[in-house]
Amino acid sequence: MTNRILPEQDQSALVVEAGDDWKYPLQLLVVPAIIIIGHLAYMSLSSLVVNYDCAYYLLCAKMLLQGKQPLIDFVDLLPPIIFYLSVPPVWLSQAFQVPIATVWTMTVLGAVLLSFLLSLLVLRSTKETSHQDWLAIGPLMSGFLLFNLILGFHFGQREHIFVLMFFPIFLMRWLRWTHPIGLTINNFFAIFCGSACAIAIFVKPQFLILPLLLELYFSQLPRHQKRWQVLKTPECFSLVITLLLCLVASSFIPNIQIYYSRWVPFVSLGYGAFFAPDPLFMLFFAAPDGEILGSTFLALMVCIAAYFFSQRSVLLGALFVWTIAGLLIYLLQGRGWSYQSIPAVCGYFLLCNVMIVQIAQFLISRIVQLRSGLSRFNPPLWSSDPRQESKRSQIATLVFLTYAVLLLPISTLLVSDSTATATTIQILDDMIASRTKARDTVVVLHTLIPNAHQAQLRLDRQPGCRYIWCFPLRMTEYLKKSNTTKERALREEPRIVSEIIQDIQKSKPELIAIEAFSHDGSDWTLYKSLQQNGILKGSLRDYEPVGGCNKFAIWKRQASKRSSSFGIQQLNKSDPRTIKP
Amino acid sequence: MKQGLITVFEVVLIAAVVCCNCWLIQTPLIDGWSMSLLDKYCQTISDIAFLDRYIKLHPTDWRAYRARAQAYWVDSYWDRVVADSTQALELKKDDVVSRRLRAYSYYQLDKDDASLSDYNILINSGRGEAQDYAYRSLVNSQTKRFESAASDAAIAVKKDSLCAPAYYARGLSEFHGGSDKDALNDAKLACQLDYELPMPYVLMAMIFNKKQKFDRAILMCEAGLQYDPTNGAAHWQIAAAQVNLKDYDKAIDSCTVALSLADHRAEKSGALSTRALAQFHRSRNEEAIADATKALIFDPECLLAYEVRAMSHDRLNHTNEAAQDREAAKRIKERMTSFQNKTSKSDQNNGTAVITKEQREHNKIHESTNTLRPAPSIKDQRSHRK
Repeated sequence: MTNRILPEQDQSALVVEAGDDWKYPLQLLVVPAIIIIGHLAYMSLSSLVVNYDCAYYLLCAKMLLQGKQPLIDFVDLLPPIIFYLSVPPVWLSQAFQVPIATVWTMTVLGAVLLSFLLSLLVLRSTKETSHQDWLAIGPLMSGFLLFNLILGFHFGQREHIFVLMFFPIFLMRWLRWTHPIGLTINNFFAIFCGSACAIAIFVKPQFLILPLLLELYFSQLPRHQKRWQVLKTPECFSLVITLLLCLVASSFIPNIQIYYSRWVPFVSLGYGAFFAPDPLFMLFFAAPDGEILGSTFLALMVCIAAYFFSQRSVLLGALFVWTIAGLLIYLLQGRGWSYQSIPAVCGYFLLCNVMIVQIAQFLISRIVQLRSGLSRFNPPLWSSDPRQESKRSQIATLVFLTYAVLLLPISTLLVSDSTATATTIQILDDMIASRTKARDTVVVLHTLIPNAHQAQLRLDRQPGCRYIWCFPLRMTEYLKKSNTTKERALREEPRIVSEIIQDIQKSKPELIAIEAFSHDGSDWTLYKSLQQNGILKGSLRDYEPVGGCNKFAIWKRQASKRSSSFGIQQLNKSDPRTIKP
Repeated sequence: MKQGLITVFEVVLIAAVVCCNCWLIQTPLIDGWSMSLLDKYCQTISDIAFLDRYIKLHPTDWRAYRARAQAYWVDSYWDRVVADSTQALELKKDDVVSRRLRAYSYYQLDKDDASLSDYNILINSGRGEAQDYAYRSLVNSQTKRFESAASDAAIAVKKDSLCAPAYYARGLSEFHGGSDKDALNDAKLACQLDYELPMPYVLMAMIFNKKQKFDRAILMCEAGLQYDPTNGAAHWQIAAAQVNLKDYDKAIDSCTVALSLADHRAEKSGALSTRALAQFHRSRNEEAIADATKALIFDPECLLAYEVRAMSHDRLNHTNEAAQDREAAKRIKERMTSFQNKTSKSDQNNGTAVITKEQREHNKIHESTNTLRPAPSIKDQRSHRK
């Protein structure tokens, strides 16, 4: 059946049917897997960087564990499901008194390992596949592990987790569509992979584009007469059912109606307030938070070449579709942040790996041809005769080695290590550390300084305002510029400021840091906006100014107010009548 | 046996190649290139990330430390500029760029002595440029070495007639010397040469405040704030104008905002003493004394703080304290007057600004709100990122 999509004349020679051939990738990958995962573990555990977005999710998860409610005690433009998913690492960290950065890094490393092992288990089912694809399995898996090495700065981002959860499903679907009906894959693995992928998709529904496009691509392959039966598999059912369950479960999230009634309409109008480059700019992948794509020109060349060679290998075509779908996901989000390109770059990098395998195969076949002095390309080494199995394993090893050697000089051109292009500069950490102590409440009001979340998580300070990042005020400023949305902005702005004031009055933070600079060169700043809306008289009455720190205005709770408020609380507890309103 | 040997050999080979792959895939592309290419990389955070990696691999390369200091300088992370330029200077003692970066960062961090020491080394080595003289002048102004400030500013302008900080420094020293007209001209020139520098606007606001053109002073501060919304000195000068316009509540708020943004002692003492004056006018004498006392912690020679505290003590019948403060204010005034007389003599000789005694008397109260130096922070020189 594979034969129909292969251009070679002697197709039978290129089909692998040996029953034990699945052992090949496993045997071949033991050493690379130990080395790469070991290296990954060393790199991530020695740096223990928690990405700014992950730090934010973990901070909110921590608040959930403290009994705080989403959309009332903390608000974000994302649906709150991600915060619930981040609860287990926080709980583990608290239960075993291990730093959250360590637990988080180990969780993501665990996800990498799990994804790799699941993929290997899926590949056990390889019974009949084209020779090219069979030889590409080792490099593909190795490339998948190598890709994780460049994600240092974005380690654990939603896109990274999605790629990890999607990879086993990708292999599973590839095998399902390229093998005869009745391919045996353990149902438990299939259901687990489907569910895990569905959860990752539910966090960011744009990810659904990738499996949908791939299914569409696979369905166009001249494989099965009853092709729709391939859809009736445990992983498909579990994926759809889990998505539906997530949807139902999300309706039970406390205060979720506030999200849909207030924030979804508001954010959909005001999201343009944040860095919105045009698609052409985005296609250069020169993201403000680092770059993970190596050479854009090379990527284009590889994709064009893959398109023309896609008839040679199903994997090439599938990975080409993955890259295109990843690109759509990246463009659809319209922000150009580099982590959003992770699915696209992963697809592209895996595609490059398979392309290199094709080159390696070509080179080896030429060498064999020259050595044997044959005029015709069909050396016995390439035969699928079971008696030649050991020779085929040798050739697989040789192909893997050639691939790995070919990858050496060009890997830095293909992808870029994110820790070499993005970093976190601790802008408020010293200030917070020196002026507050662990578990103190602090308020950092900012519109796009994600480092603040990392500081609060690392230093164990409690956010004292529902707007852990103050996205709505930047949105109201943006909405004020349009006549159609101005009224809504003017209605929302005082409401948001009064909520900030209420929160500060209620939580009585020890330190307040307010962003005082302009992100885009305009004269609007968060500090100015808050001043115009009366924050000085509203909630900063009990605070004294400390001074500027990296363009933040810093306020510290007055010592006298700290003691007096404590005294009032004590009096209130003892006799409510002693304090007159 | 033969089969086993081949397998072991293959395993070793695979391990070696994969190890190389792990290492190479994480190696920044530029690593094999010349360090001269780093210059174009010194504009963004991503360059800092790259240089972090580079320095790990090449910990003795002074150019890398200097390049990272330059990258931090663009984003105004002064303490990190100091750390990296110190490292660069340890590896190459006579590097002018690192010395300049450190001197400027010390100045931004309000470490006048360290800044002055670096500028002195730089200028004494004969490699000082106009901007070095200009900033040394500003440091001297801050430390009240007005004569040295004036001479440095003059050299700076002479060395480079297109150097905006040089004109600002000269304008500031002229302002301290009482030559408001010249100071205004120099501040205007500084703005024309580099319209994004906020401090010349603040200097103009000070001059307009002194000339009782309070609306124009506020306009100037707002112009400065447009380029640097974090400039505490601009808020302080707005407060000074508001005090003179008898809008005391607003003045108190503006001073509080200035204090929340101020990162220099001069800004803090100026804002506190102006707030003390506004509190005094609001008859909140205790608050006025508290603010003036705080101002004197930041600047023990703050004339306005002594004056306001003396007046507040008077109201509270603290005769001894009032007398002490008045005495201190008198001493500072005498010192200022002697410097202004020297300057006005030289101005008369040059045929430039002449300020009459009547005018000085008339402006007395306004002058007293402005005798402090503005925080000479030339902030926000950051260029926009890619």
